[in-house]
Amino acid sequence: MDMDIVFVLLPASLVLAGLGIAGFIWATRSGQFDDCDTPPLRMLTDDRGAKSEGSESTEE
Amino acid sequence: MSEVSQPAEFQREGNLASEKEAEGCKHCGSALPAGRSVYCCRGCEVVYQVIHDVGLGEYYSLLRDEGHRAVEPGDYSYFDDPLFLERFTTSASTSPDTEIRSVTFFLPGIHCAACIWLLEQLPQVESSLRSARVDFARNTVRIVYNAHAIKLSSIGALLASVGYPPLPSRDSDIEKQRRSLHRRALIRLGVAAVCLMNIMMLAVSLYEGDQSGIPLRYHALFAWVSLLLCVPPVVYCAQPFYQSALGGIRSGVLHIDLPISLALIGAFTISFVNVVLGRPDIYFDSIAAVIFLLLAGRMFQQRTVARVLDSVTLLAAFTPQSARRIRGDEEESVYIGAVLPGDVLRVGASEVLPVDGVLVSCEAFIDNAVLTGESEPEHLTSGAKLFAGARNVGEGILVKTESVGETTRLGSILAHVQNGARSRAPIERLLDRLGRRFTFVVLALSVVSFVAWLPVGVGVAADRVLALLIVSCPCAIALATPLAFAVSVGRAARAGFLIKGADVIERLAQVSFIYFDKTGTLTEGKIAIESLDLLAPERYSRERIAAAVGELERGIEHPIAKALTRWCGASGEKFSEQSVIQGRGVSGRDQQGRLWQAGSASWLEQCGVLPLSKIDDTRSTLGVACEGELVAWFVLADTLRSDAPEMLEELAQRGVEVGILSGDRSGVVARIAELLGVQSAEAFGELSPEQKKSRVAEKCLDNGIVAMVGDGVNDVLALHEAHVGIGVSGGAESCLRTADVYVTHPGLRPVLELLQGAKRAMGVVRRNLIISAAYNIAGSALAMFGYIGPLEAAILMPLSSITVVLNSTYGASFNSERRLIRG
Repeated sequence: MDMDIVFVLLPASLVLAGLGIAGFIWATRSGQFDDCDTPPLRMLTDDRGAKSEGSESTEE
Repeated sequence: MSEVSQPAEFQREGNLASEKEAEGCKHCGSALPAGRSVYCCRGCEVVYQVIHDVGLGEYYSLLRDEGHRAVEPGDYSYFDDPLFLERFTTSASTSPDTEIRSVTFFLPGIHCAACIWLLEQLPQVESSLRSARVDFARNTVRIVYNAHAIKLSSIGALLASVGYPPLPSRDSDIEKQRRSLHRRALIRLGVAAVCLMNIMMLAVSLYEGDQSGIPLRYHALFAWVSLLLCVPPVVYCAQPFYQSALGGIRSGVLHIDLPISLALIGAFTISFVNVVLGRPDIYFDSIAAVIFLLLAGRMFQQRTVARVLDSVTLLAAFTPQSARRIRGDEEESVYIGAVLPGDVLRVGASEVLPVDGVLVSCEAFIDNAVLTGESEPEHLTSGAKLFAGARNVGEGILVKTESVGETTRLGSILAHVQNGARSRAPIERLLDRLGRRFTFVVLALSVVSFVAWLPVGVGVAADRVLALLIVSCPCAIALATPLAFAVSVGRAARAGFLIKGADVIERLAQVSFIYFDKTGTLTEGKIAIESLDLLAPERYSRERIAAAVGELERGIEHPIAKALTRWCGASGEKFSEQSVIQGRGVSGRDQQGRLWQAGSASWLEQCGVLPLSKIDDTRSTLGVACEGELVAWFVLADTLRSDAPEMLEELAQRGVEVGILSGDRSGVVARIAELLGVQSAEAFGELSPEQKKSRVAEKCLDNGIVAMVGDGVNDVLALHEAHVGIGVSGGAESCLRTADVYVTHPGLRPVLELLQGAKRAMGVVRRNLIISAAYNIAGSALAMFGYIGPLEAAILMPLSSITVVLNSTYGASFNSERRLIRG
């Protein structure tokens, strides 16, 4: 059975996985996984008003 | 996100009706004192109004449990001190003409989702705040603000006004390091996970191919790709294991990570060779699985341990962060960090000293309980040494600074105590030694297996060795025991027992003798007037005495004075020349000019009052004298805790002996000892703090573990001297300074529960060791005799890991169904 296409698909999927890992590393380095306890609690309430501040912290 | 337009009161949907019937304070929910119908105190009233005024009334509907008392807002002007700003804030400006800064505050009051919401909505309310982000686990809030538009002191005041008085918090180097380590560990875990999953996919194909045939080119492709995918885990993710193993080798020690490191490298090398030579025995899936699971286990353990043993620096919590510095004629409020030796500071009445120094004023009354445990204030004259943390109970004084911060006496005590908290439990040290022997045994068996199987074939021999190296798992040692301790400490905290470290748990489980402090521990600590004995009822009637004493003791902040005022009632009589000697007595002249004195027997004796022999010395008393003659005395009772006899009986049943140490009179102590069934040989009265300490030290020399249960403020020395110091009152900060455990629930029953919980925790640790030993023996045997191969080993090992980890996490220890009472 000819499935030689796998020689293309396999490297392609590895590249995708690589992108995923790169994204994960970037997210971790920029501190997005530092606090995993507060977001579940924060989720339970609504933000008020039109001025919902984007609260991205600038890490040192 | 619905825009709420109705007034705050109506948002509560039904809570309004029940709230009207609710008996608690509208803000914090605690009981309303007499005379107040809506709020328990002015503080709560103000906070409630502020919260509603800024439109955040929804806060109340979000509170699941009660809120917390509003605290007196402090003076935050020292936040604006340039030195403070430099130390505690960082620049977050993106362009040079804006001044955006960020600051982190520690807010001990954060305890639920409503708190997070309230704080993070503050930027809506105060436009100069760009963002407010809460870190719930650390109880901090990070605020980014426009420094041109608002002063830091205003931010501090704002936080205090909504009920969260802020403490400055700096991202210490330890924090930074910990965070960086955590991130790197997470990345390693993520990479291992991705590689593992992909290798597994390919492995399925390869296994299937082994069964039903696979064209060579596909097999080669999958094998080579598996190899490639296995490189990051082996080279990068497994680094911690190699580092530990290498570190061990360099110090001549066999580290428990050595077998695993050898297994990983060995397996990878063999697999690599096999791929190149086209042979089918490859182990990339096992290797990646082991790496991932081990990393996951360790990360789980580290997170639990870190979270639970994370202690905040307490020095800032009980010395002031600001001081009033006098320079010439001017007085300015400065940040404590800016105070230098030689500066003259003014410390007001009832304030805490911020520095160590020398008294400049003529005299001062200083309460040194924090350091010496002496509950009676000292009278000091100019030139005397003063210490940070002590309280000025007299008038305002001037102090010349000698040392600040960590060089103060209190600061160095704290540093010492905090360092001690890091010590490992004795059982952990034992396990470290066991770990080394374990490694040696495993390596020895590997060599033996290899040699034994060699005649059958190199490949087979390699298989056996790999299986053995992988299967032998020192999980109970490296993973489960620290985890069990960490979980126990965490559970204990939720049950209201704040334990300082793992070693404390082990000692608690072995306590054989307990010394109890009397006042406040065995007794309720509340002074009640039992009776008034009159010596000359014809000349001085009951009413006359009561009227006099009631007036003299009015307004004094002392439990005895308050009890007396309540009992005597108000007579409205005017007294002149009133004077108060802290902790000793009061005096004054009545309208007929007669001198009245009321106070402790020893003080009256000093004043020359006679006769004193009439006073019953098995009770606590307050003598009343008129014109130098003793006319009456009050018998004060401090009621024994109702559960005391029962608890002591239970302790006796468990084989724990009990003693009493008290500063109160021997007669009183002996009477209580008798009531409780404590051997009189072990009940001591009239002890100074130093004497209490010596008694404890003496007991410690006997065999067995000695615990001391007492007040964190007054029994400092004895608590520190005992093998285990258990603080049951005096506030969390003072207890945790010197005691090993702080019990937040009043009473004696919690002490019993503490001991039981510790025993159960040690039971979990022991069970882990047994499970692990059984597993290792069985697993190694199976591997050596060829019943399992490396792949099966790679599955079994994590299973055993998980078993002990689950046992640690969910095993019985402290009963956390009790809610923590904030003390």
